[in-house]
Amino acid sequence: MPAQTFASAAAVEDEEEDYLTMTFEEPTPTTKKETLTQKKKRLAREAEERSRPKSKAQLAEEERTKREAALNTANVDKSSKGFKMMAALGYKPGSALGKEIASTGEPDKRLLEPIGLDMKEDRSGIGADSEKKRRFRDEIEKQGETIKRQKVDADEFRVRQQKEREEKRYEGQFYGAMKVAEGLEEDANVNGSAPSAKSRPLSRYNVLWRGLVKQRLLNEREKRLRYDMDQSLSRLPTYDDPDEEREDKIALSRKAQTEEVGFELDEEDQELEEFEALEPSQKLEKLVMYMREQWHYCFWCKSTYPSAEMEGCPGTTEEDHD
Amino acid sequence: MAGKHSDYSEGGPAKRQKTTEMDPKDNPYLAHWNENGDDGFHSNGVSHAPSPLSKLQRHQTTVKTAVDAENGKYNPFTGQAFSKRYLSILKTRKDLPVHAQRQEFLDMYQKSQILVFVGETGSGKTTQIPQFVLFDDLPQHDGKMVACTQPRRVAAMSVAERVANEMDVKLGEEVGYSIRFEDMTSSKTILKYMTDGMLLREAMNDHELTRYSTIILDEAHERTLATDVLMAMLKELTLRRPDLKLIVMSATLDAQKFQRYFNDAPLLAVPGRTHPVEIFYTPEPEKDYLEAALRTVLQIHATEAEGDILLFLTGEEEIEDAVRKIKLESDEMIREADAGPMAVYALYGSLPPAQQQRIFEPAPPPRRPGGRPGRKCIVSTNIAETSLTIDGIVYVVDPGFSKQKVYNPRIRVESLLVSPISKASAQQRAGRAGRTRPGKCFRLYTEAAFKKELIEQTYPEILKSNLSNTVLELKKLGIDDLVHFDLMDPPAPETLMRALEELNYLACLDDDGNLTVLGRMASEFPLDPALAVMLVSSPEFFCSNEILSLTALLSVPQVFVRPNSARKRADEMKNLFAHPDGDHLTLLNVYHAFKGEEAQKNPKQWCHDHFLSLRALQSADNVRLQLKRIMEREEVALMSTPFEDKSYYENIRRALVSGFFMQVAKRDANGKTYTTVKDNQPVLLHPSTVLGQESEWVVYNEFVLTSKNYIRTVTGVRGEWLLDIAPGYYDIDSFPKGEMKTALTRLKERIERRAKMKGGR
Repeated sequence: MPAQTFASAAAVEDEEEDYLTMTFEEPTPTTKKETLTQKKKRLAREAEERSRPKSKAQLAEEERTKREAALNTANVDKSSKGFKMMAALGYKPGSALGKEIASTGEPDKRLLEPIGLDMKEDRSGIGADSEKKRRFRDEIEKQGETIKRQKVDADEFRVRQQKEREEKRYEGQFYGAMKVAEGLEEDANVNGSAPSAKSRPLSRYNVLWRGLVKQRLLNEREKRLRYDMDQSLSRLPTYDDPDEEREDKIALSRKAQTEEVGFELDEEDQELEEFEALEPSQKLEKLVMYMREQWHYCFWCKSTYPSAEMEGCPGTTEEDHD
Repeated sequence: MAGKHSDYSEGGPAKRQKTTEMDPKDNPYLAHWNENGDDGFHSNGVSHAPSPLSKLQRHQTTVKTAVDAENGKYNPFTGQAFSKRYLSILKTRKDLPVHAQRQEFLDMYQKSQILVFVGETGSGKTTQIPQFVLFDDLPQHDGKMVACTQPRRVAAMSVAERVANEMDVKLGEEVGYSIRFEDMTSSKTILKYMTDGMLLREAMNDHELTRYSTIILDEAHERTLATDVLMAMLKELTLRRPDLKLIVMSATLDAQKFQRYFNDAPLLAVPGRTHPVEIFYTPEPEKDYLEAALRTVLQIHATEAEGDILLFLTGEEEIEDAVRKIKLESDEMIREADAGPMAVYALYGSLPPAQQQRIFEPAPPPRRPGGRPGRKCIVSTNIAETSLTIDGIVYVVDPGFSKQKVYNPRIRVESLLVSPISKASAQQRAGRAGRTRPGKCFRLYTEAAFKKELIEQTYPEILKSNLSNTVLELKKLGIDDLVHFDLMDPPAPETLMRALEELNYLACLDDDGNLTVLGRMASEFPLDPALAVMLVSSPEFFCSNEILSLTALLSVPQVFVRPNSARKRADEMKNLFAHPDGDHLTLLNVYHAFKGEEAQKNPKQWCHDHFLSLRALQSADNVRLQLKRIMEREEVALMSTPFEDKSYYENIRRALVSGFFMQVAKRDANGKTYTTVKDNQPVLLHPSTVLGQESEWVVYNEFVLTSKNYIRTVTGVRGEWLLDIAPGYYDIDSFPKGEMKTALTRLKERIERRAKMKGGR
């Protein structure tokens, strides 16, 4: 049964192969002699093509190109009798006729080439042709520019897209790393005796993950503000009425804390700003390195090593862990 | 087979040899050599008072003596009493701007051999300066003359007439003129107005121009071919002839160029009478300059104050069209908007003189007393730019174009093309508006275009011409070093090369660049070398009478008239004369019919009936007569093949090839279009031709460069004749591979085969 199946499959395969590799013989007219009628027909066709009256536009175009060609060809045939006669009088090719104007310092205006012919074929006024040409040129240039821009755009777009994608990925990884780092630090603090996270001012967090903390605090504050706003009766929670008594404040359930944290959050933090300005990949790299040094933790292996040598970790970068 | 060109370069027939050493006595250009020395006072058989000028010393007179003579009772040149008309003209003459500087002029003239004089049109330089010269140069004392050249025949004639009146003498006596094919001078002539081309021809026979004591080159700013050659020639001649004075007169202020060229000759400038002209530009370039021009003219007529309008356009057809349209529109404006009447006139070179005169008629009066004033509008080519002065013009409309001659040696086409004018030209045009009072000039282009697109100066003619004729003239003038000839603006080397080559093919120059006997003879004819060679060679083809007529016909304006209103009828009439072999033969038929008994009974009516130009035919008749005289002098035999002979027309066609073998086109394989030999330019037969498409080879008189390339005045020839008559040009080895070479090779084989068959028989 399997053998049979194989055989039939092979047969099918053979058939298919035959079909695919089948060569079509190119018609080779050079080797094949054309018949008398064919030749007759071909000659007739060619003659007809030759004798077919050309359209006026074709003729005009032909005339123009031939004329231009002739006009642009210098006609200094050194074997011509005209040239020989002039050479006998001391004429050198490339020089002008007439008397040399000696030392007047004026530009020599003597002709070296005949004056060209400019055919005027319509009644457009002076400047109209060049105006038309200028417009045409502008148009072409503009078109060229758009095409170029479009082309550049497509490339740029691809590059940008890719970069954006990568940055997003790095940002994601960085966010993850920050969380890990914060956790690691907390673990270390629990073991040791560091101030509790709650009372810790923002600037005491390592800049490497301070962004995460700040963002969290900001989120918290907003949540709180929202909550306060929902709770408050008539005024904005931040509204500070100088005439209001402290007791009233309490009565109106104001929290002094809010102001405290909020104050710090609104402060300028140059260190953080500088760090945030870095490329996501760089931020990530810095954080990863910090964690390795501090806690022998490899972000890519997702594990803590017992020693500083971190034996078993293939390297510091993501690629090393592929 | 009839003779070939090479015959000439090898010496030519004995009877023609004679012309090279012709006795000066027989040369009309040298007639003055034979005159007996006159005492300066031409005797005319009438008793006369002694001339107050007879005791004066040449170049030592004062303005006072001249003015005294002018104010005297008797004409110092004729000895007769002055007429009343003389006195009245004299008064107006004294008002001309040049008179204010007569003393200054005289001082400079006496001191310097060469003088550059700048005077705007209207300063009176053309009429007065030659007269100032007469009173100091006193050419009559030693039988000499003062010559004043003009670029145009009409100007030479009209100025001579004017000056003859001013001097109270008869035109053709003391004051005369000389133009191609017409000499209006006598042995009494002391002041001769002439075309620059005529002076050049005289110089060809008398290199020293001995009959002249002073030569004035007028309108030098126009830089015609002949004026440029004359300037270069006279620059050399003044070194050889210290007694010869030269005045170069120009109407434009770029005279420094002339000064520099003439080794820093002194310059005298006389201001013209001009008023300020306000110039307006269009904000945008015009899409259609003709339409814009018409619009502007009508706008002026509708909104501007009294004053005549001058519109510059490019050519006859365009001008006639514009005149018609302006007339229609302005008539409508009278009916609908109560505009003033407007008289519209055309002005161009080929207009009959009587019609040209109409532009001087005053503007029409208002249609009713107190109505809006009338004005005239003149639509002109650039002849109204410098040469013709029309008073009363206040508004100038300038589209910025003119028809200009162009020549490019690379395709060997000399043609008239519509081209932008130069800045100098535009200024000149604007100036026309300020002749009588402050005027306005409307330029139909933007100011930016004026600055950027217009060249500074119009190119002189010598840079835009086929120089084969000029080279022949220079050779005849005895100037051999054409390469270093000190022209003000030397042409491109290729142009000279082409000219030398053409003359060599025509056997007018030998391989060393020396004039051949044929070349010397051809140079005697005031014709293009190809025409001259055809004429001189025509006896070899037994048809010199016919070729003489044909040459004359090709030297005059269009013979056929084809008014727009009666095209069909005109074509029918033309077909009466049509010869199936081509336009040259058709022209000949016309001429023969014109000379026939029936036509001569009433030539005017006959021409009118047959749509022919009487003026052109009469002028051809005159040219023929002049050429015939030269032929007789040069001993070119006049003969005809009997009309009954079947080779009558064939001989004429063969003779055509002898001159025009460089203007041949071959039909393309498609059977419709043609391609010119050697230059390989695709061309079409001009629609005016009588020739069908049946001729494989055609000679043409003219290559017309327009949006399509046309060849005009075409006659079919046999290919074999080309190889036979011009073997040097049709040297098959010199042709590049292609259709042309194949065709010529086939022709050659056919000739050889035929020769063999004949030999075998």
